[in-house]
Parts: sequence; C-alpha cells; structure tokens
Amino acid sequence: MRLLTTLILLLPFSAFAGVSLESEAYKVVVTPQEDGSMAEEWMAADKIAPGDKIGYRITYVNTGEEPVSGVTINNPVPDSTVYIANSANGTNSAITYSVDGSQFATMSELKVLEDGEVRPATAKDVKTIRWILEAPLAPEATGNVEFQVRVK
Amino acid sequence: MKTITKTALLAAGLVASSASWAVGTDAGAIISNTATATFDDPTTGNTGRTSATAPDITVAELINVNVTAEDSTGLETQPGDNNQALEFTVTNTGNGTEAFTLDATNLVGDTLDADNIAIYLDDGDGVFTSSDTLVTTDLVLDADESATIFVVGDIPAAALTGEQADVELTATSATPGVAGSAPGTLISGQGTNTPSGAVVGTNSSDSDTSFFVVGEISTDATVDITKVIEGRVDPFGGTTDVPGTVVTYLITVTAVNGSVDNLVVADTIPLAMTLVADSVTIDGAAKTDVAGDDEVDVSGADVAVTLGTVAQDTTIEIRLQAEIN
Repeated sequence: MRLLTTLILLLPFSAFAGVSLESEAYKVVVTPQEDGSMAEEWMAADKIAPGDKIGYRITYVNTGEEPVSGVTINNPVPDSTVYIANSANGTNSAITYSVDGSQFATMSELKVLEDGEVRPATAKDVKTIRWILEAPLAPEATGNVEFQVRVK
Repeated sequence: MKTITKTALLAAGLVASSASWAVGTDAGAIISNTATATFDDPTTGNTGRTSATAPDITVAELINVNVTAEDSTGLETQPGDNNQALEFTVTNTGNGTEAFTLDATNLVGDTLDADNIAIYLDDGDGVFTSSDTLVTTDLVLDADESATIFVVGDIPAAALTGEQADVELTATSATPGVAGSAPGTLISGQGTNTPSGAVVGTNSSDSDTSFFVVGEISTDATVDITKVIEGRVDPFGGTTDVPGTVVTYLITVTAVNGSVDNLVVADTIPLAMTLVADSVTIDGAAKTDVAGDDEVDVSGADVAVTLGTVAQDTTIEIRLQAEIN
C-alpha cells in the first residue's frame, strides 16, 4: 500500500511529459497597516476555524522540452468551504466558474436553477473554478493561480 | 458587479452569521483540496492530465458561547419571597463539545441584592421546580446545544417596592488557557476532537443580566386556617381509635395582612363520627349548638362558627369534639 501511494505521488512529476502542478494551502489574514490600509497576508495554514479564510495557490510548470498549449486547471471548491467572491486570479488566464462541475461561464453569466426558477449565481453557488492559460506554456515556464474560500 | 456582490452577501447571510452565532464546520473536519490540469501533450498529441493535492487542513475548535436572559422585563417579587428564579439560555455557539463554567453574581449599582444566589439546570420543562439540578460543575454542551439555566435567589424581607436586584450570569469556556486570551489565540493541545487545537472565539465568555424587582407590596387581607387533632380518649381511657373514642379537633384561624369582616368558619363532621353536643368552644369559651344564641350553629353534621370581624394578626382557636360511631 505504501509503495502504491509513493508511485501515485511520483506519477505527475515523472510519467508525463508536459505540465506538473503543486498546490499549497495558506491561512489568509487581513491585517491593518501603519498607513491605515488593510493588507492581506498569506500565512501558514494552522489554527483554521469556522469563519477563517483559506487561500490555495496552485503552481504549474512546463517540465518538458516543448511548449504546451491548452493548459486548463480545474479546482473544485473543497467541502465545508465556500468560495469567496472575486478571489480567484491568475496571470494570463481566463477564469470561469461552474455550479455543477460541468458547465463553465464567467461569474456574471453564471446562472442557478433553484426551485424551478433561474437566478444569477453567487459566490456561494460556485462548485468549481477553471483557469485556461491564454498562451502556450514555454519549456521551464512557470506560473500560478490562486483562490480563496471561507470555512463554513 | 455591485449587484453581484450584494447578492452574494445576501445569499451568504447564513454563512456570515455562522461566524458570529450558529455553529460552523465541526471541529476535526478535514478540508481537502485537489487541482487538476489538462493540456495538449506535445509528445503524444493526446490530452495530458496531472493533479496536485494541497496539504489537508483539520478544522480547529472555535470556542464561543452565548448567554441570553429570557426575562427581559425582570421578575416581579415580594419581600421575603424565597427561591425566585430568573431564566437564562446558555448556547454553545462554537463548533465542538465544550465545557463552560457558570457564575452568577449580584451586580453593584442597583438598589437591592438577592440572597443565597444559586444556579440550577432545568430538567427540560422550562419551569423552575424541585427536580432541577443545582449546578456545581462545569456545564458541558455539544456544538449548537442550548441549556436552560435558572439563577435562583431569595428576596430580603426588608426589601421595598421598586427596589431592583440585578443579577448577571456568565458562562466562560473551561478550556485551560482560554480565560484572558485574546480572540484568535490558538490554544495548542486543546480542542475537542481535533489535533489542530482550540481557537479562542470572539465570545469565549459571555454574560447577560436579568433582575428581580419588588412589586407593590400585597396588602390584601387573608385568613390562615389549620386543623389538627389535639387529642383522643377511647372508652377505656386510652388513645386508640375505636367506636366510642372522642376526638378533639383544634381549628386555628388567623387574619393576616389586615382585618377581615364577616368571617365564618365551616366544618363538616365526617360520616363515621358524631359531634358531641355543645362541645364547640371559641378561645376556651363554651358555646351551644342552638342556632341564633351565640356564634355557633350546628345543623346535622355541619358546624358553622360566625366570627364576624377579626383584627389583623388575631388568632382564634376553635375546638370541637366528635365521637367515632
């Protein structure tokens, strides 16, 4: 069993040419600054309790020797959390959302069917976030995308 | 954009309130996150796929409690009333099972203090009764669980109308290290059902105040009446209850809170007994059974004693004898 687990962990980095991912979790804390503004800090993900914000940062890298096109990253919103509006970002990527995990749209186009009626989706409805890189990823090129959730 | 934000806030109302009131994700719940990437694999021409999972997060215990006084207008009492109960609700608004220390105190700055303040846990009927439990240990509540608590006190006999005794009930997390710690402080090694520790919430201690108020002191005159068997004599000079035994009853009548008028004491001799003729006495004075000649009027088994006006705190003793048939 341990051998199997190790193999699975190694697979993304060794078996496929192209892109590999890494995902990290942080506790997001908003702290007031000396000049009165508020700054968002991403800290170690300890003492996470209901109401706290978690930031996820997914780093991608082209581990191959050729440019890779069509890079698409999907990340379902974890159980017990809700997506925080406007928190998803990623340079040179188009961000869309889904309330069912299959159909994606921008937030303003996203709709929810509820009790037989269609209404605009809210952040709370978001089940999956998708980033599509707008340009092919050059060899050794890296970047990241991120989003935040709040623990229910 | 503005509209979306607003809608999001509205829809998130439940979530927003969960941070401050109702319980959120259970302590110990594991939050797991996996990202998956697909891409056009340049070497095979197929779609490549890879994924990465962030380190799991185990939700810490968030310690919060709410105390609410249920008697918003206080409880009206009378001087000398004992075991007066103020109702409070204590709710574990955190996300894990937690023990809370309860403390009830008379507040300063008011006009009265209640005596013998004690804390009781309701038995479930919402009314303070003798079957409620005196709280001597910490109150353990599951997440989102509520308990009805009575703070019970005695009102001093010398209290005056309008005087008010403010009483505060405080519930404080009993987890070591919580008291005195700022909200957000992590107490490592604590926390129910989670290795992530306990986080001091914004309300790890909460209190609310209710009060006893002395109402208009009752001045309605009433009559206290008691009836006891004072003695018995059987036909053999003993005290057994056999046919022929004569039983002496003592009826004591007292006017309280003022004098009373037209006071009539009525007594009916039991079926198996017969009134001894002309045996009724008032404060030791013999009376006849005949109607109209004095205060006592006997008709069959019914004895009526007309006392008329009785002054406040005056006690009258009526004795009568009946024989067992």
